[in-house]
Amino acid sequence: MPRSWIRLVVVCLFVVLVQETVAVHALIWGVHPEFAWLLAPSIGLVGGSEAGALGGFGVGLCVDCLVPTPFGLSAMTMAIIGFCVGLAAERGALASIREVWWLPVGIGAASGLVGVGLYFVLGVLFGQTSFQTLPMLNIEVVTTATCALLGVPVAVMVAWAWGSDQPRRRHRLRRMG
Amino acid sequence: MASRQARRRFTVLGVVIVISVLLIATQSSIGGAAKSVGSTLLSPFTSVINTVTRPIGNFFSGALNYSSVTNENAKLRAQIAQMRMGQAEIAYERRQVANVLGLQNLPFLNQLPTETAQTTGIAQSNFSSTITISKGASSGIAPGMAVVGSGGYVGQVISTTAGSATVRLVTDGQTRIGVSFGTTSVMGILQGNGQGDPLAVAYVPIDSLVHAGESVYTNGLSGSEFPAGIPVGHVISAKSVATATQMQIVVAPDANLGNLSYVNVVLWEPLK
Repeated sequence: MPRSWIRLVVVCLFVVLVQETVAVHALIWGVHPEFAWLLAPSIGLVGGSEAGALGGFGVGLCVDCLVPTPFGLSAMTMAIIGFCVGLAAERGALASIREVWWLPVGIGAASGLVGVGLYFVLGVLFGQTSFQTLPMLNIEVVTTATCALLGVPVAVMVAWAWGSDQPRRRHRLRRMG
Repeated sequence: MASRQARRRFTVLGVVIVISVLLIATQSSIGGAAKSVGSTLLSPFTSVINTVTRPIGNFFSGALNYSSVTNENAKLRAQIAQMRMGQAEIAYERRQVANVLGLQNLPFLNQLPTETAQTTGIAQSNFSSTITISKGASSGIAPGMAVVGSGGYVGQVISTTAGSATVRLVTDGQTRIGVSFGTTSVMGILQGNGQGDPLAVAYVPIDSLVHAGESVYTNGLSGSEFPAGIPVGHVISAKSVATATQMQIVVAPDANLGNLSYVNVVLWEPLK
Protein backbone atom coordinates (compact mmCIF):
# COMPACT_ATOMS: atom_id res chain seq x y z
CA MET A 1 0.00 0.00 0.00
CA PRO A 2 1.50 3.40 -0.95
CA ARG A 3 2.47 5.61 1.97
CA SER A 4 0.01 8.30 0.81
CA TRP A 5 -2.90 5.86 1.26
CA ILE A 6 -1.72 4.96 4.78
CA ARG A 7 -1.56 8.65 5.72
CA LEU A 8 -4.98 9.14 4.13
CA VAL A 9 -6.47 6.30 6.19
CA VAL A 10 -5.07 7.88 9.38
CA VAL A 11 -6.47 11.32 8.48
CA CYS A 12 -9.88 9.87 7.55
CA LEU A 13 -10.09 7.82 10.75
CA PHE A 14 -9.15 10.90 12.77
CA VAL A 15 -11.88 13.04 11.15
CA VAL A 16 -14.52 10.29 11.47
CA LEU A 17 -13.62 9.67 15.13
CA VAL A 18 -13.79 13.38 15.97
CA GLN A 19 -17.15 13.52 14.20
CA GLU A 20 -18.57 10.51 16.06
CA THR A 21 -17.18 11.23 19.52
CA VAL A 22 -16.87 15.01 19.92
CA ALA A 23 -19.27 16.55 17.38
CA VAL A 24 -22.17 14.34 18.50
CA HIS A 25 -22.15 16.22 21.82
CA ALA A 26 -22.82 19.52 20.07
CA LEU A 27 -26.36 20.48 19.08
CA ILE A 28 -27.21 23.40 16.83
CA TRP A 29 -30.94 23.88 16.17
CA GLY A 30 -31.44 20.37 17.46
CA VAL A 31 -28.99 18.68 15.05
CA HIS A 32 -25.35 17.64 15.22
CA PRO A 33 -22.75 19.31 13.04
CA GLU A 34 -21.49 16.75 10.50
CA PHE A 35 -18.23 17.18 8.63
CA ALA A 36 -17.27 13.64 7.57
CA TRP A 37 -18.96 14.62 4.29
CA LEU A 38 -15.83 16.68 3.53
CA LEU A 39 -13.49 13.73 3.21
CA ALA A 40 -14.76 12.25 -0.05
CA PRO A 41 -14.69 15.52 -2.06
CA SER A 42 -11.30 16.41 -0.57
CA ILE A 43 -9.91 13.06 -1.72
CA GLY A 44 -11.52 13.56 -5.14
CA LEU A 45 -9.99 17.03 -5.37
CA VAL A 46 -6.42 15.81 -4.84
CA GLY A 47 -6.65 12.25 -6.16
CA GLY A 48 -9.13 12.38 -9.02
CA SER A 49 -12.36 10.52 -9.69
CA GLU A 50 -11.15 6.96 -9.02
CA ALA A 51 -9.54 7.88 -5.72
CA GLY A 52 -12.60 9.99 -4.86
CA ALA A 53 -14.97 7.07 -5.46
CA LEU A 54 -12.81 4.51 -3.64
CA GLY A 55 -11.89 6.88 -0.81
CA GLY A 56 -15.49 8.01 -0.42
CA PHE A 57 -16.64 4.39 -0.36
CA GLY A 58 -14.07 3.52 2.33
CA VAL A 59 -14.88 6.55 4.49
CA GLY A 60 -18.59 5.82 4.05
CA LEU A 61 -18.15 2.24 5.22
CA CYS A 62 -16.28 3.53 8.30
CA VAL A 63 -19.15 5.91 9.07
CA ASP A 64 -21.70 3.14 8.41
CA CYS A 65 -19.98 1.00 11.05
CA LEU A 66 -20.68 3.67 13.65
CA VAL A 67 -24.23 4.84 12.92
CA PRO A 68 -27.48 2.88 13.18
CA THR A 69 -28.66 3.65 9.63
CA PRO A 70 -28.39 0.98 6.86
CA PHE A 71 -24.89 -0.34 6.22
CA GLY A 72 -23.71 0.88 2.82
CA LEU A 73 -25.85 4.03 2.56
CA SER A 74 -23.12 6.49 3.55
CA ALA A 75 -20.62 4.52 1.44
CA MET A 76 -22.71 4.89 -1.71
CA THR A 77 -23.43 8.59 -1.11
CA MET A 78 -19.81 9.50 -0.38
CA ALA A 79 -18.51 7.44 -3.31
CA ILE A 80 -20.77 9.38 -5.70
CA ILE A 81 -19.74 12.77 -4.26
CA GLY A 82 -16.04 11.87 -4.27
CA PHE A 83 -16.29 10.67 -7.87
CA CYS A 84 -18.10 13.79 -9.10
CA VAL A 85 -15.67 16.22 -7.45
CA GLY A 86 -12.72 14.14 -8.69
CA LEU A 87 -14.07 14.11 -12.24
CA ALA A 88 -14.57 17.88 -12.18
CA ALA A 89 -11.00 18.33 -10.88
CA GLU A 90 -9.55 16.02 -13.56
CA ARG A 91 -11.33 17.87 -16.32
CA GLY A 92 -9.88 21.15 -15.11
CA ALA A 93 -13.19 22.55 -13.87
CA LEU A 94 -11.68 23.01 -10.40
CA ALA A 95 -8.38 24.68 -9.57
CA SER A 96 -5.95 23.30 -6.97
CA ILE A 97 -6.15 24.33 -3.32
CA ARG A 98 -2.90 26.26 -3.65
CA GLU A 99 -4.26 28.32 -6.55
CA VAL A 100 -7.62 29.13 -5.00
CA TRP A 101 -7.53 28.67 -1.21
CA TRP A 102 -11.26 29.22 -0.73
CA LEU A 103 -12.18 26.49 -3.18
CA PRO A 104 -12.56 23.88 -0.39
CA VAL A 105 -15.01 26.22 1.36
CA GLY A 106 -17.30 26.22 -1.67
CA ILE A 107 -16.81 22.53 -2.40
CA GLY A 108 -17.31 21.72 1.30
CA ALA A 109 -20.57 23.67 1.48
CA ALA A 110 -21.82 22.12 -1.76
CA SER A 111 -20.79 18.63 -0.66
CA GLY A 112 -22.54 19.02 2.70
CA LEU A 113 -25.70 20.26 1.01
CA VAL A 114 -25.73 17.68 -1.80
CA GLY A 115 -24.41 14.85 0.41
CA VAL A 116 -27.13 15.16 3.04
CA GLY A 117 -29.79 15.58 0.34
CA LEU A 118 -28.57 12.55 -1.60
CA TYR A 119 -28.31 10.50 1.60
CA PHE A 120 -31.91 11.41 2.42
CA VAL A 121 -33.19 10.55 -1.07
CA LEU A 122 -31.27 7.24 -1.24
CA GLY A 123 -32.40 6.36 2.29
CA VAL A 124 -36.06 6.91 1.39
CA LEU A 125 -35.59 4.92 -1.85
CA PHE A 126 -34.16 2.05 0.19
CA GLY A 127 -37.14 1.99 2.54
CA GLN A 128 -36.06 4.28 5.39
CA THR A 129 -39.50 5.85 5.81
CA SER A 130 -38.43 7.29 9.17
CA PHE A 131 -36.24 9.79 7.28
CA GLN A 132 -39.41 11.63 6.27
CA THR A 133 -39.92 12.70 9.89
CA LEU A 134 -36.50 14.37 10.15
CA PRO A 135 -35.96 18.14 10.36
CA MET A 136 -34.20 18.14 6.98
CA LEU A 137 -33.98 21.92 6.66
CA ASN A 138 -32.10 22.19 9.98
CA ILE A 139 -29.83 19.28 9.04
CA GLU A 140 -29.08 20.79 5.63
CA VAL A 141 -28.34 24.27 7.01
CA VAL A 142 -26.13 23.06 9.90
CA THR A 143 -24.25 20.51 7.76
CA THR A 144 -23.65 23.01 4.94
CA ALA A 145 -22.38 25.66 7.37
CA THR A 146 -20.15 23.16 9.22
CA CYS A 147 -18.69 21.80 5.99
CA ALA A 148 -18.03 25.32 4.71
CA LEU A 149 -16.28 26.26 7.98
CA LEU A 150 -14.11 23.15 8.12
CA GLY A 151 -13.59 22.80 4.37
CA VAL A 152 -10.10 24.33 4.36
CA PRO A 153 -8.55 22.42 7.33
CA VAL A 154 -9.92 19.05 6.15
CA ALA A 155 -8.79 19.70 2.55
CA VAL A 156 -5.31 20.71 3.78
CA MET A 157 -5.05 17.54 5.93
CA VAL A 158 -6.14 15.34 3.01
CA ALA A 159 -3.75 17.15 0.62
CA TRP A 160 -0.90 16.60 3.11
CA ALA A 161 -1.81 12.91 3.41
CA TRP A 162 -1.98 12.54 -0.35
CA GLY A 163 1.33 14.34 -0.80
CA SER A 164 -0.07 16.76 -3.37
CA ASP A 165 -2.94 19.17 -3.80
CA GLN A 166 -3.55 18.51 -7.48
CA PRO A 167 -5.31 15.67 -9.25
CA ARG A 168 -3.23 12.82 -10.66
CA ARG A 169 -3.95 13.69 -14.30
CA ARG A 170 -2.27 17.07 -14.01
CA HIS A 171 0.91 15.44 -12.68
CA ARG A 172 0.89 13.02 -15.55
CA LEU A 173 0.45 15.83 -18.06
CA ARG A 174 3.23 17.82 -16.44
CA ARG A 175 5.56 14.82 -16.52
CA MET A 176 4.71 14.21 -20.17
CA GLY A 177 5.22 17.88 -21.02
CA MET B 1 -6.41 5.61 -24.27
CA ALA B 2 -8.50 8.45 -22.86
CA SER B 3 -11.71 6.54 -23.44
CA ARG B 4 -10.24 3.47 -21.73
CA GLN B 5 -9.38 5.62 -18.71
CA ALA B 6 -12.86 7.14 -18.70
CA ARG B 7 -14.38 3.65 -18.93
CA ARG B 8 -12.20 2.50 -16.04
CA ARG B 9 -13.29 5.44 -13.87
CA PHE B 10 -16.97 4.78 -14.47
CA THR B 11 -16.44 1.05 -13.95
CA VAL B 12 -14.92 1.74 -10.51
CA LEU B 13 -17.89 3.95 -9.63
CA GLY B 14 -20.30 1.30 -10.92
CA VAL B 15 -18.64 -1.42 -8.87
CA VAL B 16 -18.73 0.54 -5.60
CA ILE B 17 -22.38 1.48 -6.22
CA VAL B 18 -23.32 -2.16 -6.89
CA ILE B 19 -21.50 -3.29 -3.72
CA SER B 20 -23.26 -0.55 -1.72
CA VAL B 21 -26.67 -1.52 -3.11
CA LEU B 22 -26.04 -5.17 -2.24
CA LEU B 23 -24.98 -4.21 1.31
CA ILE B 24 -28.05 -2.00 1.81
CA ALA B 25 -30.55 -4.34 0.18
CA THR B 26 -29.42 -7.52 1.92
CA GLN B 27 -28.64 -5.91 5.30
CA SER B 28 -26.16 -8.76 5.42
CA SER B 29 -24.50 -10.23 8.45
CA ILE B 30 -21.32 -8.51 7.23
CA GLY B 31 -22.99 -5.17 7.98
CA GLY B 32 -24.12 -6.29 11.43
CA ALA B 33 -20.70 -7.64 12.29
CA ALA B 34 -19.00 -4.48 10.96
CA LYS B 35 -21.29 -2.29 13.06
CA SER B 36 -20.55 -4.41 16.11
CA VAL B 37 -16.79 -4.14 15.51
CA GLY B 38 -17.16 -0.39 14.87
CA SER B 39 -19.02 0.15 18.17
CA THR B 40 -16.47 -1.94 20.06
CA LEU B 41 -13.56 0.01 18.58
CA LEU B 42 -15.26 3.36 19.16
CA SER B 43 -16.32 2.71 22.76
CA PRO B 44 -12.88 3.33 24.37
CA PHE B 45 -12.59 6.69 22.56
CA THR B 46 -16.14 7.65 23.52
CA SER B 47 -15.49 6.62 27.09
CA VAL B 48 -12.30 8.71 27.33
CA ILE B 49 -13.94 11.75 25.72
CA ASN B 50 -16.98 11.44 28.01
CA THR B 51 -14.75 11.10 31.06
CA VAL B 52 -12.88 14.27 30.06
CA THR B 53 -15.79 16.41 28.86
CA ARG B 54 -18.60 15.42 31.26
CA PRO B 55 -17.13 16.98 34.46
CA ILE B 56 -16.32 20.19 32.55
CA GLY B 57 -19.86 20.34 31.13
CA ASN B 58 -21.38 19.55 34.54
CA PHE B 59 -19.23 22.22 36.23
CA PHE B 60 -20.32 24.98 33.85
CA SER B 61 -23.91 23.79 33.83
CA GLY B 62 -23.99 23.73 37.65
CA ALA B 63 -22.26 27.12 37.98
CA LEU B 64 -24.52 28.85 35.47
CA ASN B 65 -27.73 27.34 36.83
CA TYR B 66 -26.91 27.22 40.57
CA SER B 67 -30.23 28.59 41.83
CA SER B 68 -32.32 26.36 39.58
CA VAL B 69 -30.21 23.34 40.62
CA THR B 70 -30.88 23.98 44.33
CA ASN B 71 -34.60 24.53 43.62
CA GLU B 72 -34.71 21.33 41.60
CA ASN B 73 -33.00 19.43 44.45
CA ALA B 74 -35.62 20.64 46.91
CA LYS B 75 -38.42 19.62 44.53
CA LEU B 76 -36.84 16.22 43.96
CA ARG B 77 -36.56 15.60 47.73
CA ALA B 78 -40.24 16.38 48.11
CA GLN B 79 -41.08 14.10 45.18
CA ILE B 80 -39.03 11.25 46.67
CA ALA B 81 -40.90 11.57 49.96
CA GLN B 82 -44.23 11.45 48.11
CA MET B 83 -43.14 8.49 46.01
CA ARG B 84 -42.04 6.53 49.10
CA MET B 85 -45.49 7.01 50.53
CA GLY B 86 -47.14 6.07 47.24
CA GLN B 87 -44.94 3.01 46.88
CA ALA B 88 -46.08 1.72 50.24
CA GLU B 89 -49.70 2.22 49.21
CA ILE B 90 -49.49 0.50 45.86
CA ALA B 91 -47.38 -2.47 46.97
CA TYR B 92 -50.55 -4.33 47.89
CA GLU B 93 -52.24 -3.46 44.56
CA ARG B 94 -49.19 -4.63 42.62
CA ARG B 95 -49.28 -7.97 44.34
CA GLN B 96 -52.91 -8.35 43.40
CA VAL B 97 -52.31 -7.42 39.74
CA ALA B 98 -49.29 -9.71 39.54
CA ASN B 99 -51.37 -12.57 40.92
CA VAL B 100 -54.13 -12.01 38.36
CA LEU B 101 -51.75 -11.71 35.42
CA GLY B 102 -49.76 -14.68 36.71
CA LEU B 103 -52.92 -16.76 36.53
CA GLN B 104 -53.21 -15.85 32.86
CA ASN B 105 -49.50 -16.54 32.21
CA LEU B 106 -48.97 -12.92 31.19
CA PRO B 107 -45.65 -11.21 32.01
CA PHE B 108 -45.83 -8.21 34.34
CA LEU B 109 -43.21 -5.52 34.31
CA ASN B 110 -42.59 -5.50 38.06
CA GLN B 111 -41.84 -9.20 38.09
CA LEU B 112 -39.30 -8.97 35.31
CA PRO B 113 -35.57 -8.60 35.95
CA THR B 114 -33.98 -5.37 34.78
CA GLU B 115 -30.41 -4.23 34.23
CA THR B 116 -29.49 -0.66 35.09
CA ALA B 117 -27.09 1.02 32.68
CA GLN B 118 -25.59 4.47 32.28
CA THR B 119 -26.14 6.47 29.11
CA THR B 120 -22.70 6.94 27.57
CA GLY B 121 -23.55 8.47 24.23
CA ILE B 122 -26.24 10.28 22.34
CA ALA B 123 -27.34 9.97 18.72
CA GLN B 124 -24.36 9.38 16.46
CA SER B 125 -26.25 10.59 13.44
CA ASN B 126 -28.82 13.21 12.53
CA PHE B 127 -30.68 10.45 10.74
CA SER B 128 -31.64 8.39 13.80
CA SER B 129 -32.67 9.00 17.42
CA THR B 130 -30.51 6.67 19.48
CA ILE B 131 -28.50 6.53 22.69
CA THR B 132 -25.64 4.26 23.67
CA ILE B 133 -25.67 2.61 27.10
CA SER B 134 -22.84 1.24 29.23
CA LYS B 135 -23.93 -2.41 29.33
CA GLY B 136 -24.33 -4.96 26.60
CA ALA B 137 -24.43 -8.64 25.73
CA SER B 138 -22.19 -9.62 28.67
CA SER B 139 -24.92 -8.33 31.04
CA GLY B 140 -27.63 -10.33 29.30
CA ILE B 141 -28.87 -7.49 27.11
CA ALA B 142 -30.04 -8.52 23.63
CA PRO B 143 -31.46 -6.69 20.59
CA GLY B 144 -35.22 -6.21 20.84
CA MET B 145 -35.38 -5.67 24.62
CA ALA B 146 -37.35 -2.72 26.01
CA VAL B 147 -35.58 0.10 27.81
CA VAL B 148 -37.39 2.10 30.50
CA GLY B 149 -36.46 4.96 32.77
CA SER B 150 -37.10 8.55 33.71
CA GLY B 151 -40.88 7.99 33.86
CA GLY B 152 -41.69 5.38 31.20
CA TYR B 153 -40.73 3.60 28.00
CA VAL B 154 -37.52 5.01 26.55
CA GLY B 155 -36.85 2.79 23.56
CA GLN B 156 -35.69 -0.54 22.22
CA VAL B 157 -32.24 -2.12 22.06
CA ILE B 158 -31.27 -2.43 18.38
CA SER B 159 -27.68 -3.68 18.64
CA THR B 160 -25.25 -4.83 21.28
CA THR B 161 -21.55 -5.35 21.80
CA ALA B 162 -20.04 -7.10 24.81
CA GLY B 163 -19.97 -3.92 26.89
CA SER B 164 -22.46 -1.54 25.27
CA ALA B 165 -25.80 -1.39 23.51
CA THR B 166 -27.49 1.02 21.12
CA VAL B 167 -31.06 1.98 21.98
CA ARG B 168 -33.50 3.40 19.43
CA LEU B 169 -35.53 6.08 21.23
CA VAL B 170 -39.33 6.04 21.18
CA THR B 171 -39.34 9.26 19.13
CA ASP B 172 -37.42 7.68 16.22
CA GLY B 173 -39.48 7.43 13.04
CA GLN B 174 -38.94 3.65 12.92
CA THR B 175 -40.66 3.03 16.27
CA ARG B 176 -43.78 0.83 16.10
CA ILE B 177 -45.32 -0.46 19.37
CA GLY B 178 -48.60 -2.18 20.12
CA VAL B 179 -50.33 -0.11 22.82
CA SER B 180 -53.56 0.05 24.80
CA PHE B 181 -55.26 3.04 26.41
CA GLY B 182 -55.77 3.32 30.17
CA THR B 183 -58.37 0.95 31.45
CA THR B 184 -60.16 0.50 28.10
CA SER B 185 -59.69 -2.37 25.68
CA VAL B 186 -58.91 0.01 22.80
CA MET B 187 -55.61 -0.80 21.10
CA GLY B 188 -53.47 0.78 18.41
CA ILE B 189 -49.97 1.07 17.01
CA LEU B 190 -47.78 3.84 18.41
CA GLN B 191 -45.39 5.48 15.96
CA GLY B 192 -42.46 7.87 16.45
CA ASN B 193 -42.42 11.13 14.52
CA GLY B 194 -38.84 12.24 14.97
CA GLN B 195 -36.91 13.93 17.74
CA GLY B 196 -38.86 16.66 19.54
CA ASP B 197 -42.19 15.80 17.95
CA PRO B 198 -45.06 14.06 19.78
CA LEU B 199 -45.92 10.43 19.05
CA ALA B 200 -48.96 9.26 17.08
CA VAL B 201 -51.19 6.24 17.52
CA ALA B 202 -52.62 4.67 14.37
CA TYR B 203 -55.30 2.06 13.64
CA VAL B 204 -57.69 3.16 16.38
CA PRO B 205 -61.28 2.95 15.06
CA ILE B 206 -63.36 6.13 14.82
CA ASP B 207 -65.27 7.10 17.97
CA SER B 208 -63.30 4.79 20.24
CA LEU B 209 -63.31 5.72 23.92
CA VAL B 210 -59.99 7.58 23.95
CA HIS B 211 -59.68 10.95 25.66
CA ALA B 212 -56.97 13.52 26.30
CA GLY B 213 -54.98 12.76 29.44
CA GLU B 214 -55.43 9.00 29.18
CA SER B 215 -52.34 6.89 29.80
CA VAL B 216 -50.88 4.68 27.08
CA TYR B 217 -49.26 1.32 27.92
CA THR B 218 -47.65 -1.49 25.94
CA ASN B 219 -50.37 -4.05 25.29
CA GLY B 220 -48.24 -7.20 25.51
CA LEU B 221 -50.41 -9.11 23.05
CA SER B 222 -49.32 -12.55 21.94
CA GLY B 223 -46.29 -12.11 19.64
CA SER B 224 -45.65 -8.60 20.94
CA GLU B 225 -42.05 -7.50 21.37
CA PHE B 226 -42.66 -6.12 24.87
CA PRO B 227 -44.38 -7.26 28.06
CA ALA B 228 -47.70 -5.62 28.97
CA GLY B 229 -48.00 -2.59 31.19
CA ILE B 230 -44.97 -0.47 30.38
CA PRO B 231 -46.16 3.15 30.55
CA VAL B 232 -45.34 4.81 27.23
CA GLY B 233 -47.05 8.20 27.34
CA HIS B 234 -50.33 10.07 27.74
CA VAL B 235 -52.81 11.30 25.15
CA ILE B 236 -52.53 15.00 24.29
CA SER B 237 -55.39 15.03 21.81
CA ALA B 238 -57.77 12.48 20.29
CA LYS B 239 -60.00 13.47 17.36
CA SER B 240 -62.48 11.62 15.18
CA VAL B 241 -62.68 13.27 11.77
CA ALA B 242 -65.88 12.40 9.90
CA THR B 243 -64.22 11.41 6.63
CA ALA B 244 -61.31 9.50 8.21
CA THR B 245 -61.17 5.76 8.84
CA GLN B 246 -59.23 6.03 12.09
CA MET B 247 -58.85 8.44 14.99
CA GLN B 248 -56.09 11.03 15.03
CA ILE B 249 -54.36 10.52 18.36
CA VAL B 250 -51.32 12.48 19.53
CA VAL B 251 -49.33 11.19 22.50
CA ALA B 252 -46.57 12.79 24.60
CA PRO B 253 -43.93 10.35 25.90
CA ASP B 254 -43.88 9.83 29.68
CA ALA B 255 -40.13 9.40 29.80
CA ASN B 256 -38.10 12.57 30.06
CA LEU B 257 -35.95 11.92 27.00
CA GLY B 258 -33.87 15.01 27.68
CA ASN B 259 -32.54 13.53 30.91
CA LEU B 260 -31.51 9.92 30.44
CA SER B 261 -28.45 9.58 32.65
CA TYR B 262 -29.47 6.07 33.72
CA VAL B 263 -31.95 3.64 32.18
CA ASN B 264 -33.22 0.13 32.94
CA VAL B 265 -33.19 -2.59 30.32
CA VAL B 266 -36.06 -5.05 30.79
CA LEU B 267 -34.46 -8.47 30.44
CA TRP B 268 -37.43 -10.00 28.67
CA GLU B 269 -37.65 -11.52 25.22
CA PRO B 270 -40.83 -12.73 23.54
CA LEU B 271 -41.35 -16.47 23.31
CA LYS B 272 -40.44 -17.73 19.83
